[in-house]
Amino acid sequence: MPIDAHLSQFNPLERIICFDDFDNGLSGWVPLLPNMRPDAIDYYPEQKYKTLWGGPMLSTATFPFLGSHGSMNGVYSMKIPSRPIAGPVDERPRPGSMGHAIKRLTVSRRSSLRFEMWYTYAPEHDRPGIGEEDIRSFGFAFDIQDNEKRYFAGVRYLNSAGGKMRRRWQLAKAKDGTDAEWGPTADSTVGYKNSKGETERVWIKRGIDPSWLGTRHADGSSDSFLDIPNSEQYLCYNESVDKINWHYLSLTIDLASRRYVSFTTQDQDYDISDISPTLVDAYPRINNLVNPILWVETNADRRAMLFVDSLMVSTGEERSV
Amino acid sequence: MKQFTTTVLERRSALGAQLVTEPYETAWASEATFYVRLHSESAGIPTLRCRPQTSLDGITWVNFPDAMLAVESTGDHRLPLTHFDGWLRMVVDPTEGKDYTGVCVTVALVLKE
Repeated sequence: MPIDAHLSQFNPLERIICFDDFDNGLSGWVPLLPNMRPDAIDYYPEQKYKTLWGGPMLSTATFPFLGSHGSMNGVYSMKIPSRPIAGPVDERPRPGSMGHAIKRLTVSRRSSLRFEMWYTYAPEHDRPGIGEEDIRSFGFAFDIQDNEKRYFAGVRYLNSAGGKMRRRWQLAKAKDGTDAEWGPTADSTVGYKNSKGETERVWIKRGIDPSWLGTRHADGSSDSFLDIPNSEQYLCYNESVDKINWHYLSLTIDLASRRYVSFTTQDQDYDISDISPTLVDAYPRINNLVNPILWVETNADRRAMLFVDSLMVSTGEERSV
Repeated sequence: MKQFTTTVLERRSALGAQLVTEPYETAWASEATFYVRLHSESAGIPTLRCRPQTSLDGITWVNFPDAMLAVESTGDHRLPLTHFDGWLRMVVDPTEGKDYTGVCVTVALVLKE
């Protein structure tokens, strides 16, 4: 039987939902934008800052002295850049200091769900130096809602913060606290009408949008992410900004139990089945939503960039080998 | 089928100082059209000079010798381009000393292959 070299770079569950190789377009990955307010073709004022997040584009990974890196499997990868704006590590990210990309799917069966990708990261090659410390973090999350609960299940590599390299992996999970401590409690969308005919208020609750919400601390820790024990990992950043190496990552969760299952980064496997994401009550109009989200955050007034060669979302049981 | 994508680079951005859109990678496309949509309560405004630029690396930028869009009225204004390289961006210069209170722009880039 012939081997499909590209497919064999992945380890999917039995049913593949997405296999996005960015040599054929962005495959539905779009910028992450806030909801529109009901009274104007405009955004809710408290959420307008999200319109400044960097968005995805097809990249040749070209550098001034190297030329084009291309991608791992061809010419184009999906690049997610930040803007060249960073804020203090113990404050919520400045508008534009992150880039996000999101794809909008729905759940097809309540079983395990796996995200895999081959990716790399680099700052813009606009100055001398190694530059490794100028990338604060990057990550992936599923935004999920079933008929009762909404939750974010995701993983973040905290690369550099507070003047030190941190190099550790973290899971999206909110520490105890209030919605007001988490982020703005202004309206975020239009609620359903209740039994009295009144439109219910809806705002971003604790646990939602962990990539930028939640209190942050000087060492890079935050109320939105929990360290995976013994997860310090030196990735292959390489010795110059324009040398990029492709890495593998896989996160598996279980939609039936709403729990994490496993996480793989390079040659490291983590059993994370004793951890559950933070659950909040369901939001209006997004039942069965499953949105994979990728992001990067800069740690300096310099663009940080996450490149994804290809990715896969799969569901069902493990394949028998 | 043709490859096609529309990317919105600025959304209702206020005008005052020079506005420069974020670098956007365009290597895969052979045709590009910039749209500058002017939002204002009044129909006419002091001229905005909109210059597209291309780049070898997304860091250092080069003008197109003959491409410039003068925007003086509300609505959409378009500027088609070919023979660009790996990146495009748009530089929007308000007329110096003029008042742009209540005026904002949306800039979009349409790419085709």
